[in-house]
Order: sequence, then structure tokens, then C-alpha cells
Amino acid sequence: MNTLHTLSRQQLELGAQVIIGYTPGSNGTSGTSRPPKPFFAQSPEEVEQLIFDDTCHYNLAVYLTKKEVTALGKRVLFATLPTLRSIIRLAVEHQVNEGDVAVIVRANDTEYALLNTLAEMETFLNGRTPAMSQEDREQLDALLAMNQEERWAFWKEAFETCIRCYACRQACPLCYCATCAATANQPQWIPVAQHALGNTEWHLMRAMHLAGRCITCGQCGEACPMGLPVHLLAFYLAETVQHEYGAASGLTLTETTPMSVYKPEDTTNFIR
Amino acid sequence: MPILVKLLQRTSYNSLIEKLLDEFQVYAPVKKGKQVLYERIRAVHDMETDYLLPVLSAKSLVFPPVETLFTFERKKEGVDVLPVAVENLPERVLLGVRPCDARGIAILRQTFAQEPVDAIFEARFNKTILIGLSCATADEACFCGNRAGDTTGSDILLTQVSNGDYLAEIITEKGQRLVERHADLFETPTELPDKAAFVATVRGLDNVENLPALLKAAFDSKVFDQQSLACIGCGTCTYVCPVCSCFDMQDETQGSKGRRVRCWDSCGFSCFTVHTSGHNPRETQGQRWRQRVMHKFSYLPESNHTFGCVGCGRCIRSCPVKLDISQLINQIAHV
Repeated sequence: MNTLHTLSRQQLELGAQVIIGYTPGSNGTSGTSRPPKPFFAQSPEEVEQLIFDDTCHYNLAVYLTKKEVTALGKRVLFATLPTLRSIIRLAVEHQVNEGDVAVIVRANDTEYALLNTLAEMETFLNGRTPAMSQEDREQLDALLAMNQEERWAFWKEAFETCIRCYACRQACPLCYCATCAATANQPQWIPVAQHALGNTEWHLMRAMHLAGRCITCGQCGEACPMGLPVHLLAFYLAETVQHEYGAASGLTLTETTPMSVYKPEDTTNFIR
Repeated sequence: MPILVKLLQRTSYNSLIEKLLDEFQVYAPVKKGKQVLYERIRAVHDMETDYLLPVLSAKSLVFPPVETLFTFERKKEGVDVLPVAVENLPERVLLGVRPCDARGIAILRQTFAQEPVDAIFEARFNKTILIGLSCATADEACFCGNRAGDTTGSDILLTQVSNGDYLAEIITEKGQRLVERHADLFETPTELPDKAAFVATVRGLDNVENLPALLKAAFDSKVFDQQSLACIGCGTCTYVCPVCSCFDMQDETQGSKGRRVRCWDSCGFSCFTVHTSGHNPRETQGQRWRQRVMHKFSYLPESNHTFGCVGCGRCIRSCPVKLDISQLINQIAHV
């Protein structure tokens, strides 16, 4: 008996409305299977199609704030470490409440475990903070080694290539605003059109909104159809905030949001 | 049916490109970082030859993501409006365009050439010569239904045959004029190669002829809500699509001057149909997904007698959550 399927079925029996996990990708002309994709199992039969292995890494926490999904009722999510961090962060930001969601995690290579409470998720994360991938580390270091002019040229080209499909925003578990400043038109904060100016403002605004909140899953960069490493903007700010304030995001239920909290003992004095 | 069929040796193709570079702005697949995109080339070697499909379709060359429709200036006596000078648009040649993309442009043209004719699109289209290139291979996302050598939309379609030379099918008068100008580079074949042997076999959608009716019947079905649960509501599928043509209008002003731009928009966005009152007739992602499917496979067949999908598979390749329109449409076709 597959523990994953047993656990999932049990959860449906216990009142969860949907198990959000993964299923193998579709086959096409060449017969090769495409990567696993998110899958919503709402019946015991559908549970049979669920998989959760090394190839499954899409951050499913993005669905926790999607209204069509919250409307279904209690959700059980297959969670990787970044997914757990997203849930903790969403809880800190009052977007997820105790009891809204349980998760199934991979306890090790062969076993799965159910985490029912936010506290259990917090504990599971303890000591399991993954580092940035080597590719991201190298690319970020290469960017940091550039002088300002070179770095600007790099991002200028990237922003000119952007088509403003907002895949980065929509794939981000922490971009949950019902009305995004990028699409608001009363007032219009940044140009909507896909030109260099509008695109630059969009990406810089997004990066700043995520500073101190981003849990560095990298899903924004992965989602980008144009292959732009937009996640590195967020990663850099995450590192900067951690360095300045000693705070990483999405690890504890008691953490704050450094960029929106003022403390009298803050070392910077710009606000005084 | 082609007007003419010629042979173009591989070396002659390069000579042709060199000549075209002198006469036209030439666009072709170009490797940019990890991606291949249709971009302007300045030399033969700028062109990428190892590609299946550029990330963005050739749509962006006839219907760019953002373009100025007119400029305006407020003056004491009123507002001056200056239309874009379409006569200044450059003469262009698009090279290496895949048959699905060429077909996409033909479908787009049907949309933009309806009354009132879109003057900018039409002018750009008329000043563009499209030299297509048949596909020898396909990947798992392709679902054009054996149209890898289809001539629709191409002015000239090249198909690479056994020895690496090209079979050149001249489809339109635009293409014919180009060939006549460079007649020395083209040869008249003594024996025609079997084109079909050199183009890929590609799956298509199931039950295609009944799709419009099946979809109509499924309008109130829950299937659209179910299928779109995983959709995250970005605009990727519509922006990479060779056929999607929805756009937004924006006025961008600076002081007393400004311009009106047309920029791509997407029916996948939650705010796409929001009314001024705040009411949104397509409030859920299911309704928005249904609109995309209906538009492509029911409304366009009805109004323009063509599907709004060429089966290029770009939306499948680029979807952040790996939604597969071919699989989802087949699901509906088998309901």
C-alpha cells in the first residue's frame, strides 16, 4: 500500500475537500513524459493519480490564496521545504489560518508524514533550510561582482525582453494582493505597456514588495517564459535584509516583517 | 497550390539571405541567452539554425507587444493628433518562420483585416515577405496535426530535402516577385523530391470536426472550473500564442504631449473584463479559461471559419504549471 495514497485518502475521509499534489506530465508526439504538474484530487479515485518524488518541486502554496481553491474548503498540500516556508510566511501575514491547511511532506526518501498544525510545520522546518542552488549562487555572485554600469546593462536587457505576462507574480506564493499595484488604474502607478520603462518599474516594485518576505523558492524565475532570472532580484534583497536585520523569511510563526516594522532600537536613523 | 516549385541549394540560400540583407530588414530565429527568438539579423551567421520554435511566435513581428497608434499634443487652440506614418514602415523579410507561425499570421490577418481594417497591421503585413521553413522534427508539445509542411501564410515555403538543399514552394505573388528578382539562385527541378518524406509527423486534436458543437454543449459544464483549478492566471499562454490578439489601449502622456499605444492583454488576467462599476462578468478562472477555449475552438470557427489555434504547443511548453491545452481539449471532446 502506498503511504502517500493512504494518507491522502484518509484526509479526504476526515473532511479535507481537496488534496493538492502532483501528477505525471502529459505525453505528446514524441512519447516522452513532460515534468509533473500540480493536480487537485477531490475523490479517492483521483488520489490514485497523485505522485510526490524528487521530480516534484512546484511550490503549491501559491494555491492557498487563490479564491477558486479556497472556495473548495479544507486543503491538504504536498509540501516541499519552500512550500512549508511559504505557508509559515502566509500565516505570519494572516493569509492562512490554523486549520485551513494540512500538509503531506516527504519525511525521507520513502516515507511521507502528515503535518496538521502550523506549529508542526514550523518544527519540521527547523534545521532544514536549503541553500540557494549552485547555479543561482554563481549567477548572483557574478552579478554582484559587476560594476554598477555592467549590472544595469544586464538588467536593462532583461527588462526589455520581459513581455509582462506576470507569470512571475502569479507563480509567487507571496504575491497574493487582490489588486496588484501594477494593474491598478486609479491611479495608475506604473505604465501597463510592455516597454522598457514599464517593465523596469514593474520588476523593481515587485522586488521591493518582496524584500524581507521572499522565501527564495525561485518560482518566479522558473515561471518566466522568457527565461529571465527575475528571482535573483528577490534573492539579493532577501540576503540583504537577512544581513541587515538578521531575519530570514518563512521560518518561524513569530517572525516579523523587517521592512514594515519600526523598532526604537533600529540602528538606522533615517526615520527619526 | 504553389504558383511555382523550385530548388534552392543550401549555399544559394545563404547567398539569397545576403542579398535580402541589402534590400530589407531581415528577421529570423536568433539565439538570445538560452532562448531562441525572432529578431532582426544583420548577417547570415546571426541566424540560428538549430531550433524547433522560437519562444515567442512570429505574431510579435506583425502585432508587436506594444506599438504606438498615434501621438497627440495639447495646444491652446485644441489637440493635434498625428497618426503613425505607415508609409515609413520598413520593407521586411521574415526567415525561418515555422508553418504554424505562418498560419498564425494568416489567422491574425483575418481578424485585423475585418472592417474597419486595421491600417497599421495591414501596412506592416503588406510590407512583409514571409519565407517559411517546414519542420523536420516535432517535440512532445507539438499538436499541429501533420501541418509541419503546410504552406498557409508563407509567401515562400522552404523544405529541407535529403542532401540539405531546399525545396522552395512559391505560394504568393509577393513570393514570386522575390524569386524573380533572384532567379539566378533558384533552380528548376527536373524531378520533384517527395516533400512528405522530409516533414515531421505530428499528432493533432481528437474529434476536431465536432469540437465547436461539443464545446457549445459543454458551456455550462463544470469541466472548465475543474480544468482551471491549477491555472495561476498569468498571461503566458496568450502572449506566446501565435493567434491570440486581444489588446489594451493606453494613453501615455508627458506634459502636454503623449501617445496612444496598443499593448498585448490577456483573457487569463482577472482584471481583463472588470467593468468601471467594479462588476466582473468573468469573475472566476474557470470562466476565463472557458472563454479562451471557446474563442479558439468555437467562436472563431463560427465567425472566421478557422480554429484560433495552430497547434504550435507554445502554451504547453511555457505554462508555469504545465497545463496542456491539447490534453484538456481532448478531455472535453471525449465527454
